[in-house]
Amino acid sequence: MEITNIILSIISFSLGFISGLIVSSYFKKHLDQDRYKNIVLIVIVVMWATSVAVEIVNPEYKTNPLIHGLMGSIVGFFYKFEPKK
Amino acid sequence: MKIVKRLLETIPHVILFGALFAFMGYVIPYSYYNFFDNTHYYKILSPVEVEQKKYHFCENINAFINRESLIDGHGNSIINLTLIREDESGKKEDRIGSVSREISIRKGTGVVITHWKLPCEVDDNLVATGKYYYDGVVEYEVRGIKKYESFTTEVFEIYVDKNDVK
Repeated sequence: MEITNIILSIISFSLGFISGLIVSSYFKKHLDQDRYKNIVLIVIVVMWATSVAVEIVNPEYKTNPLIHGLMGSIVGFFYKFEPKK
Repeated sequence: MKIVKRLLETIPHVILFGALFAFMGYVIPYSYYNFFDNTHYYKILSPVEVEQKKYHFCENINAFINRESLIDGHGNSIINLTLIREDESGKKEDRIGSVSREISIRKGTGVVITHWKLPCEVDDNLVATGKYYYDGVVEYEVRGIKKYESFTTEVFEIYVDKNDVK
């Protein structure tokens, strides 16, 4: 069972990594940096909201608080607060 | 230098948003389960069926609990034996005794056969011939929040022979 989980984790990580590379290379060619960052922000926020929604729908599922924090940190890394002058 | 400056600029944002997302990720589901959720994750069909309609005191009762659970877990059940007395003034219920048990809760539906031993303390007049039923409450937790499910059994008779009383 543990070996199956490890293999599934490696496969899902590899798929995510490869698809991320393909999507990011496409965005770099076709979008400017600000729009590119916004898309990353939106994707992470949607993922976070989905994980919270799944926690509400399924009481047996719980996202690790570190994962919540990690998603927030990525949003914080890309977010730039610029007050309007 | 530019990279260091950029890092110093982003670190407060990273910490702030990380903490905010972790906090909200905890508070939103907790608030939902605590204030809005009315789901019965563990249900018992009442009245619970008992094997016989008449028992001798000190006997074991087999009860067939028809239950449905949406979660796996464990809980605690408290079962009371109640005596029903009927006279001109109406129906009166006396609590005779209670039993507390740890129970495991498995997801799904099914019938659980459980055994309860009737009290044997005839000397103290704890058990007399009459009509009885069990009622109980199952306490369980969902995401750290306590939930309760109550149930009652069918009414059955307990008889005590004269030579049983010392």
